[in-house]
Amino acid sequence: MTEYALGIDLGTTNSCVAIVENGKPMIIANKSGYLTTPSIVAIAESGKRLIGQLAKRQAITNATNTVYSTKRLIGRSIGDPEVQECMNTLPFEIVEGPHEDVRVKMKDKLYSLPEISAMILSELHQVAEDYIGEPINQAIITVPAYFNDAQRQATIDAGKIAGLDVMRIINEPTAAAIAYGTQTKKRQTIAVFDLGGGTFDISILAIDDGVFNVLSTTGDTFLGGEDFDNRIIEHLVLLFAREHNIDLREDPMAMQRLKIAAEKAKCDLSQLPSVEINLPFIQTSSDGTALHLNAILTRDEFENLVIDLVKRTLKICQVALMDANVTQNDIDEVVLVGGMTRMPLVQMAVSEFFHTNPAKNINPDEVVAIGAAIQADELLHQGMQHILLDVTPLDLGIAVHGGNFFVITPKNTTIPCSNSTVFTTSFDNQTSLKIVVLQGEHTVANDNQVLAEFTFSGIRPAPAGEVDVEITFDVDADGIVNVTARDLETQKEHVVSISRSSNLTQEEIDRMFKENADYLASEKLGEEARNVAAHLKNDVQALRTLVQTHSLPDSISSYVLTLIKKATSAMESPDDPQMLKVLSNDIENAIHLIEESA
Amino acid sequence: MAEGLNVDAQAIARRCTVKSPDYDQLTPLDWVVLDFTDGLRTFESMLSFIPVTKSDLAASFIHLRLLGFLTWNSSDKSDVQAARNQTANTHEPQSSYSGYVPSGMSQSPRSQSSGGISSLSSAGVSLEPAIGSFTDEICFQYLPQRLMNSFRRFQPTLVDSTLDLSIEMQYFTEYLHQNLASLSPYDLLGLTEGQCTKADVRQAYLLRTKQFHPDRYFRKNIGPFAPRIAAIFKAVTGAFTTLQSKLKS
Ligand SMILES: Nc1ncnc2c1ncn2[C@@H]1O[C@H](COP(=O)(O)OP(=O)(O)OP(=O)(O)O)[C@@H](O)[C@H]1O
Ligand SMILES: [Mg+2]
Repeated sequence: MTEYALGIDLGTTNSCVAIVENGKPMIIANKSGYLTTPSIVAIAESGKRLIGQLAKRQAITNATNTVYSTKRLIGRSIGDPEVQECMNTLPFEIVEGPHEDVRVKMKDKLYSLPEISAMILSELHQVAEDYIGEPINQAIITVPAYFNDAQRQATIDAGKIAGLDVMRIINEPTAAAIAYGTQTKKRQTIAVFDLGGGTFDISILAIDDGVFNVLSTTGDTFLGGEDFDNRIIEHLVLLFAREHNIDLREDPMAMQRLKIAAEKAKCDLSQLPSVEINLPFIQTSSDGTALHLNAILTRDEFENLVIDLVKRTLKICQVALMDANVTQNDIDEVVLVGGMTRMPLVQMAVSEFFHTNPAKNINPDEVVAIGAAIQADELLHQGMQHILLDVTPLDLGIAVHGGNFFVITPKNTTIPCSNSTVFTTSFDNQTSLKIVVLQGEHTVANDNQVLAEFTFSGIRPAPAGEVDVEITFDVDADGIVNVTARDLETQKEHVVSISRSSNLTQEEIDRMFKENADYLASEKLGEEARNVAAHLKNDVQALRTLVQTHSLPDSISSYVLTLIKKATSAMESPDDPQMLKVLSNDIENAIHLIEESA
Repeated sequence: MAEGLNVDAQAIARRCTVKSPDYDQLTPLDWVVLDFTDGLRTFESMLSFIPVTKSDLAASFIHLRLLGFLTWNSSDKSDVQAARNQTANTHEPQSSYSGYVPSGMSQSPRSQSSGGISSLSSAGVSLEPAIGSFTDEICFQYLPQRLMNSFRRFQPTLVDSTLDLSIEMQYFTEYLHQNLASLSPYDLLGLTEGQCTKADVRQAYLLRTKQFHPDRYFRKNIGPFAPRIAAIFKAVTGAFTTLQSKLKS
């Protein structure tokens, strides 16, 4: 029986992996020793993959081969306005894939977004396996509550490419609630306010006797810390343009530096009343003189730049309360999640809005991964610690006559659930019904995401409105939707299971999985080779000394010299541990021989 | 789940003297089982010489229990607590019938009993679920009184002891599922109309959630019960929603 399952918070800016060991959830530190890993992937000059802190460190000098914020793009199609916006603001190349999906370019190679996520997942997976010391395959990955089906499916695809068995996708705020709620026994209603790097989520939950009942969940998949950074960047670009009449936005390297400086200033302003931003040699003017950027940003100024963003989060909170059918006063506790909630203005606004101070002792960076790990452990072992009652994040329904969206399963319905509505024919002698399954929140059908389309035929020709067809939506605990159309006259049925609409084909996923696995295997081989090479180096040194201090017969000494030569050249690019081992063996034998004959 | 099998001698005594309607409901297999429940044989050993399937035998056990002829007691609470402390983090796979041991009952149930329920020395301890105070057994008590009779008369057809689902739950699930259409929201939650508050409704829903949320059986082999459990959960959620808004007004 598998003992362990991972909880992975795949964030826009930071990712984090946790596991339950001996009944205790814990975060696993990455190879650099940090508890969170920047969601940054780069390909180095050597072709080697860099992930996390390593990728972040070289981002400035390798701007076009470093990708980040890809969670903003995952599961979207190229025509999406959000994708278009990213194309303008992100320094790496974003292009259209074969299925109107989005691909990013690093070192002339195109990668799908699930592949990028898979690289991060693989890194975290490896770190966890190294820590536990045995293979772990199962994992729960978290996504923003407001992610739609395509975004969730793309995340599952990422898991598959990384070779993980994704037990379930759960919502980030729900995961945070689990981590928080398993510490308390009290019955309470809580709000989870999650403002991360790229997304904002708010969920209202009732926690009672081990049952986590999500009352409502909503958010904005395009509102997060990066928008705050961008406000500072815009501010600085404007200052610079005023002073030097140069648009820094045309220089990717300058933008990369600005981005880092802006984020740093933002974080510092959570502690300090004002910060100084210095970016020497950011540009050269037309006459060749070096230009520097020097600015002071006060907390007040910064708050003015972003106040509308904070207000936007509160407006969404209002919707969440209404959807949950509760008021501010019903909220016993607010759980703050996400790095952006460290900003004093955010904390103040939230406390004021909910009339309560945020829960203490919660690490906003780790709580999501911890909750995911607890839930993964619960599903794996059925320890009967808690049950999670999650909801549908968006309205589900079909397109009806006139181009409207008819909702059958409203958002915030507890899953699993089953809802049906009876429809009738809209014109005389209509024998078939085209059913377009939609997900979204817009009243106009076309503005929503199409999950599936099918035709229900074989209806008896009759005057309009005479034959009734019942349409049932079933959503299971995994969020998978089944749609059934049933002719109430003949009881004839047509069932369509909506496997989530993936942006990748199975072949593509298989190929990407293989590529990823091959890369990891060769990396592992390379690492082994480097270890053997280090060992070999010592042997060669020892042999050299022996040759110099002993007078050897010519035949032996020429053999030894060839051996040394071979080993030296093999060590230059150590990639085949087997060959290195053979050499190392030969050298050790030679050493023995010489020592014995002496 | 290791539990002791016990014959409720008093119940039998009562039924043997007073002709109870329940008495007529014993199937031939039930009689055979009663005949062989001599306080020494285990479920497994009975299975070795009664020529029926494990499922049928298990169903008969449940049936007899529902009729009040047999009981199997959970182990002592303190044992449970001790076990939980000891094995705080081991996860025991749930096997439905692993630990049934015969009780000290030494007479054939058909003969008059001299009375007294023999005490049990259980062969094992059960890991009581840590969640609330829920055990599968509660499901029997959580039917409203008015349904108890129909539940007693119920003959399950799906019982399969090889599944990762306790026989009690299988029995209960099949019963509820078969009657879903005719059960009222109160029935589904085990409540009696006019005699419950909004808080009772919530309490009952929490219990049902723990019994019937599909996550409880995540990737478990529960065969034909998987869709039934999901259907019951949906119905129960519907009942909860209905009663929540009804009791508000
Ligand atoms: N002290 C701080 N003050 C203000 N902002 C901060 C602070 N520390 C981190 N941040 C910001 O928080 C954001 C990252 O938060 P977090 O790591 O929770 O996001 P994420 O989980 O990667 O994103 P998401 O949940 O949206 O996918 C970044 O924008 C970062 O700049
Ligand atoms: Mg996050």
